[in-house]
Amino acid sequence: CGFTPMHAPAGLSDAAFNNVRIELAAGIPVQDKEAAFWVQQALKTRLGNGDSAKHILRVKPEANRAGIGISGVDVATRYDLGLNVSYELIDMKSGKLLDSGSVKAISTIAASTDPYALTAAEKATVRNLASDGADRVLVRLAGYYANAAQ
Amino acid sequence: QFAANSSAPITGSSDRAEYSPGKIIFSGQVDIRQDNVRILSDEMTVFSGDRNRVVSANEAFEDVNRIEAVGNFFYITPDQEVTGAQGIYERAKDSFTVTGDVILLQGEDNVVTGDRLVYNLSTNQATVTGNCKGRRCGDKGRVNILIKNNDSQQSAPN
Amino acid sequence: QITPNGTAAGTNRPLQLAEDSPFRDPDIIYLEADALVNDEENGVLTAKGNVEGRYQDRTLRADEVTYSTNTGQVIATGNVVLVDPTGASQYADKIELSSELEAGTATNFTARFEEGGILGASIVVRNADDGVELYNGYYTACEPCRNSDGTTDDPTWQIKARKVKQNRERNSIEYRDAVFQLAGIPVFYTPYLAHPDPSANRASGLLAPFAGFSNTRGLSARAPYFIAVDDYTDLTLTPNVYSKVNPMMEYDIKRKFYSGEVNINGSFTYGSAFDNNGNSFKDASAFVNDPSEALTGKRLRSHLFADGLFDLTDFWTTGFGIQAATDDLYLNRYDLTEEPPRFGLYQADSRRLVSQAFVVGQSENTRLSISSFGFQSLRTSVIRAGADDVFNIFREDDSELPIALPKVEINSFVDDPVFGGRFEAFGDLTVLGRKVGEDYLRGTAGVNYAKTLIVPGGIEVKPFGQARFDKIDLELGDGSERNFDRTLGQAGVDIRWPFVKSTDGVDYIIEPRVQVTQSFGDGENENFSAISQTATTSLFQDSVGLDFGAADFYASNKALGYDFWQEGLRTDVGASLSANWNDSRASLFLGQSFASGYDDSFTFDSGLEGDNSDIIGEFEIALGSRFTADTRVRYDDADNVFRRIDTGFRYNTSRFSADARYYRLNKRQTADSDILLAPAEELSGGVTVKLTDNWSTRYQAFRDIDADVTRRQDLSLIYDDQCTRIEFIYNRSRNDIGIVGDNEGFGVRISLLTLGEFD
Repeated sequence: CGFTPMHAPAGLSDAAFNNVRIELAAGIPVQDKEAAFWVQQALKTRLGNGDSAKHILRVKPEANRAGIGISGVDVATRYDLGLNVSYELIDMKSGKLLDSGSVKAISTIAASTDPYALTAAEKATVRNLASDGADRVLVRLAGYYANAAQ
Repeated sequence: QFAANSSAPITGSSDRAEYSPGKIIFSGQVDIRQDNVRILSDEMTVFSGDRNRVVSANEAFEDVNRIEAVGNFFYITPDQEVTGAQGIYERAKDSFTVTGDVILLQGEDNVVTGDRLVYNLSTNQATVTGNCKGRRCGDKGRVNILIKNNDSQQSAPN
Repeated sequence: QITPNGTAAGTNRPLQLAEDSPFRDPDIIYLEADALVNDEENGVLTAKGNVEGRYQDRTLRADEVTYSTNTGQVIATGNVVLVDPTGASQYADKIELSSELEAGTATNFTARFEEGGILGASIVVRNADDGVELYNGYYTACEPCRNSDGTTDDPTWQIKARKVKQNRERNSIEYRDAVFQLAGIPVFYTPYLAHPDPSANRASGLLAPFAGFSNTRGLSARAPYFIAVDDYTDLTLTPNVYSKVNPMMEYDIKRKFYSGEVNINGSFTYGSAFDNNGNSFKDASAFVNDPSEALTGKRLRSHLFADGLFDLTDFWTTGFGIQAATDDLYLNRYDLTEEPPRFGLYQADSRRLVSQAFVVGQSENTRLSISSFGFQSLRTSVIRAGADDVFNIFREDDSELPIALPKVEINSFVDDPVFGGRFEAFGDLTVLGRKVGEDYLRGTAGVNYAKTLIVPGGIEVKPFGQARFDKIDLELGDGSERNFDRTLGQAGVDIRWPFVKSTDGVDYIIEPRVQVTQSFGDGENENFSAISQTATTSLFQDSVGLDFGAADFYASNKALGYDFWQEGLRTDVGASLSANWNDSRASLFLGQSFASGYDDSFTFDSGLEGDNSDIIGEFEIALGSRFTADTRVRYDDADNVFRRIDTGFRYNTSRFSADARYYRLNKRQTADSDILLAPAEELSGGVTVKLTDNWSTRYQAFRDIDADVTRRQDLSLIYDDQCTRIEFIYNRSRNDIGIVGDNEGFGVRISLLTLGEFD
């Protein structure tokens, strides 16, 4: 039915797309630096360290939070934790922009009475969103490479 | 007289001079002077008032009707200097017209470049014009003026 | 005498010129013209015809420019334009410039500031300290647009004054005998008025709104006063006066340093607390609580929001954030934000403030964070207790809130040279202290390993492993202590087999994925519960609040924290299908997690209790940027019921936009960490309709369907042209906070561009 494996190397290889090197965009504010670190590590784990890279994947993650479930004492009881990752795929030699876009990962947590528990839940969720966001970027990249291959 | 409102005697020198009725053609580092004004050029033709009589240099200069100086033309006064390809003096208009890459040095540092300079000896005003008008000409063809105002240190802005 | 990094003549604005530019010499002026007349007698050079002048980094245009060689005076006449490199430009019929092309006196003069302000006058004189004085001048930020018949109608607002003075040294514009006109109609007169000069890019401008009304505070007006203390510090003092309550003074200090900046924003007043109708609390006996808790009494009340951020090196960043208020309801009473913008590492949840200090080091493979933070609660309710004028104060006690002193996190990744995988060394030391309640210390250290392998057929196989050691010390409120340590481990493999199909512009990607994880070591989770005769209370400091969804599905440690350790074998099975076509996308995820051989003290209603998790489904669709929707569900296949339905959409066009969000939770039972009165079913959303080019209306609401009450509603009518914003706001909230906090109110806010920052 026309589906082919996304990674279709003949033999063994140790990365999903081993011609891509990951880079964080410049000027990431301190609030988003932690999310940016985890997106970078999630991409590196799947893409390898990109020594033989021909393309640069430059990502700019932005974390955000919105309160919902307004309670009887006007307090948000659930939080939507979102992570927007905008990315650019750049040809290393020419610097030409090959592809760009942005993806969004979201997870909702229940707020708890203790503020530290909520802070810890946010920290852990941002780490999960980072790997989910990284996967979504790679799905887009797979689409680009599939088109480029045709 | 080509020095502004001065009737001092005109003296000059050149490598050669060729006399013919009504005009004398000096050539070769022509250098003529009146009062504190000096004119240099490669070649200069002086037309005197009486067109059919051959006159000496001094007589010619007393009764100058028209001067055509061509090639490396310089018109030097104590506080300004005009250079160009050629300069023409006409007594009728009492003006000097310099054309061809005209450069006017005014004071020590003010520089004006243009295509044509008309120096009116009676009003003591020099007017420089370019061969193109308006901002579309870019830097070619317009009058460029560079003012170096070194007396600005003393005069505090008013 | 060329000044390499000099400043533009007459200002302290740095020169914007190339290093070797000849124009750095302050004595050089360059003009281009159609003709030049050199009048030697009076020593005047006159450039005529489309004159274009250049001096340092300023450009001058005029029909004619005369330069007097002896006085150095430059006079430009006819369609004169003087443009600064910052974009600020001045137009006039005639400008007398000093030789440095600085505006001397001018007639029929207008100056346009880069940020949009316009300053004009019929006569302008440059004063001694280099500022500009305008006589019967005007200031506005509204672009005067010329109608078809050539007349220009009055700008929406402008300030006319007998004399307007631009004070460069104080970076402010000052007016004498100023009249404020709204659409040409004089509204109020003031003998003196000052506001920051918009061109001073450091000017923080003024905090909106400029004027307003609310039924708690009555009419309000604010007049900012701006002081450039020195080149690095500016201070804005903004007195706020109200018709129903005491005035309040706001201050905003911005201080720039070499490697960072500090922003301090605070306010203070002297008076008593008042309810949301503006009536002060006077009689302590009106409260059933202990007199010391009563809200009465006049005293100094204030708030302080300060933050500082410094980039020490490319690796190290340090900073601090202070958020504090003298009494819980102060911010709300004066309509000051109770949720300052996100800053630093931690953000407080609603009606709470957080103060923090941190040092963070981050590079491509290593992150080190040392921080300390604490909370202040603003959650106070004042509810009628029986008779009409007797009240009961319910207050969340700050001493029960933890202070983290310190929290140290280390994560460092190293490439494995042998197999090409990646090691992560991680460490986390968290020390929490509470005046009332348990203290907690946990030290964690461990190593993670993961290796991605693509085997023939395109299957992506990622074996991973973890070894970890925890040292935990809990000191309970009753003085007893629990001190234990545990050694834990995990080994697993994550297998995903993505397929791609790309036909006529649509990319399809299918990815089945399975992750099998075997955990080792005794989590000793029972140490985290205190069992007394009456109840068991949870001592978990983290690992709460999880609502199992697609983003967390493949986390190898699904507890949101370190305390709870998931034992036994776990298998997560899922598949995702996504389709992308031009700028639209759709994706579907389905998955379930199976576990065996461990106790299920995962938090209730996280979706992971019991051996089989709920079935997790997530569907998203985005049609360009016009319409996006997503739905997330948890289906309990044991009791055949949806434990969670969570769906939302957003639709926007230029004229109309709407967004809505609905969720329903079918809880097995409430966990004691849940917040009381938390809605199990809520519908929220908003609609914005652009009625005309300038008028638009917006309605927004949160409705708790469970309790059948609309917790918050805002209806606003907004007039917005490019220099004015007037909002008529009606808001209503239904909650049990009682007679404090905003319950119902009508307000008007008037904000002016460059006079009141538009938020």
